[in-house]
Amino acid sequence: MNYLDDFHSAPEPRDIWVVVELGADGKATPLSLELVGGARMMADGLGCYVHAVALGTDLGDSVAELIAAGADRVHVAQDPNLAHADARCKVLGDVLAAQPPEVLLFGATRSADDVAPRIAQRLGAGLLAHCISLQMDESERVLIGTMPVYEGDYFEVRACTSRPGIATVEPNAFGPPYLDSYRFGETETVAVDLADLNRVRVVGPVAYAAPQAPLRKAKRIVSAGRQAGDFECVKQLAHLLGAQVAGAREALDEGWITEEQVVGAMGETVQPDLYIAVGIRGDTYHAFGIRNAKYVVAIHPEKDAPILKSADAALVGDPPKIMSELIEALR
Amino acid sequence: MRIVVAIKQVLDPRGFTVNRKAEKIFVNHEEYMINPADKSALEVALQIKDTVEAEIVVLCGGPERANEALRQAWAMGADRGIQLTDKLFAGADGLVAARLLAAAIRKLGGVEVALTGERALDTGAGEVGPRLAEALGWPHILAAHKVGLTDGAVKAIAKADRFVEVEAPRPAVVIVANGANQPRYAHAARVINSYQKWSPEVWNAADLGLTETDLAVAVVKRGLAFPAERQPGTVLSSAGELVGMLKRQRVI
Repeated sequence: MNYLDDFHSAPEPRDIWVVVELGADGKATPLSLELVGGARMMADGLGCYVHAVALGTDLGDSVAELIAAGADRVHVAQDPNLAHADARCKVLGDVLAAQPPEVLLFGATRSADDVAPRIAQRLGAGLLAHCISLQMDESERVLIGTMPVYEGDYFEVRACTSRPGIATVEPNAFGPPYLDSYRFGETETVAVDLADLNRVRVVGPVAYAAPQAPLRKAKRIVSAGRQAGDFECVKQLAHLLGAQVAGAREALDEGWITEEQVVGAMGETVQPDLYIAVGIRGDTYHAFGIRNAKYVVAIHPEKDAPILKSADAALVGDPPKIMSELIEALR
Repeated sequence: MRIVVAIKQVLDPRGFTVNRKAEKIFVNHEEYMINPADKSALEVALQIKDTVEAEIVVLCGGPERANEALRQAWAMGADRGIQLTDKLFAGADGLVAARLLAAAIRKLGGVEVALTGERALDTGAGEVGPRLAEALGWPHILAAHKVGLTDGAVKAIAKADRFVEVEAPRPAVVIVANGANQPRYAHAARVINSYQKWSPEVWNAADLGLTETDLAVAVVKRGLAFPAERQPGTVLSSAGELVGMLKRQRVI
């Protein structure tokens, strides 16, 4: 591209912008601070500024924290309506359309799932969603992200060639930020104009039980064996993790579970993200049933139980005692 | 009332294996299926049609093989199927896909609700639904589990951090959550008829009034990466340590 062409097209996309999310206490979330820190490093490489946009009702001292993490300018919008995704889309879109960024970062949260794609479409930009790592290729000035595909079976590396380049970033992609409380930064107030907004109205919370996935598709499973000791504890642990209850064949003999909940070669083959085996010795039948599990935790009283060798993490000890400690720690 | 369902055809994960050690993907059977979340969206549309008079139009972008997905959708109970096929559509990213679908919906006219699945199995970005809403200038509802129509609005039970009831004025885009329902099976006779007595309409870039500049992609694939192979596990000493480790490794 000709340098003069670039010069005349206004406004030119510049700087790195981070959309900050505020926690329930009004403070910037750890993920947002991490992104600001990551953006600071990127900006130092590119030679540009870091802007943070915080949309919320009550910001308090989070502005100082954002500047300490690396922001040069913090844009603040305060309005009670900004709790809603459609209002956030509108306000953020207006700000970014007036001053298009070169790079725009979101934390990969539910709120960003609502907002980031709409902003990307409005700015005519690409989106790298749910990046587990993100780099700026400084020679080409394009964003390169790595994201899980096929539910995490493997990763794809994609480049966002548009300007702005937009990404939603998972936690721990950059690491904790360096907080420098002596940094200097500016604050700017963003005008909130919510006229002509096609309102999505939140009526209120409802009690709704989503249909339970069959065991073979469950994301988390807590599974009991003969040595589990206390099945109530297993159920409690599963409830706390939002997991489904299952068991080895011995648990069926104990009368704890039904035929459909048996995991193993003679039962269901499962592929959860997290499988907690409580008091299961781990014979070959059971090992076959969990061969596709992504993360296996074993709790067993015997040191030489085969499952302890094949698990990702193992705890040796009395299962009911460990489970109650686990429940305590999770709370 | 006209309801549009946008579906995507994805490679069936049962047809390939991922070898982390060799850092390769071995495709054994190259079979395609309707993305599961989009199938749930189609089921939502069919449930609406069970209660009110509606015409369901299914849109699917892709090469020649996309007609299989549309035939399956028709067999399940859709009224029309439109295949968006053009050489220019190859390698479309979220930006282009949303523009395509928006152009098709505008061309159809009179669409009250556009439905799509929350996340595609193969890319998993979950971006096309909200993007489509923005391209059309409509409101959207994300992660809908149950959808119903009221006077001039669409009501849904959606999942934020908990389940909430939300209401958006029509026309609106509703993005159906993964696993929101159990899609119905197609009637066997309709499956046969979908191949013998029916074929989808085919629209290309010229039909949609899109030019090459509208269809320039912004995201390109640069390569693959693989998670580390499973390591032998560690024996921990306390429950607190386990919770810390699970959190650190983002399992919980």
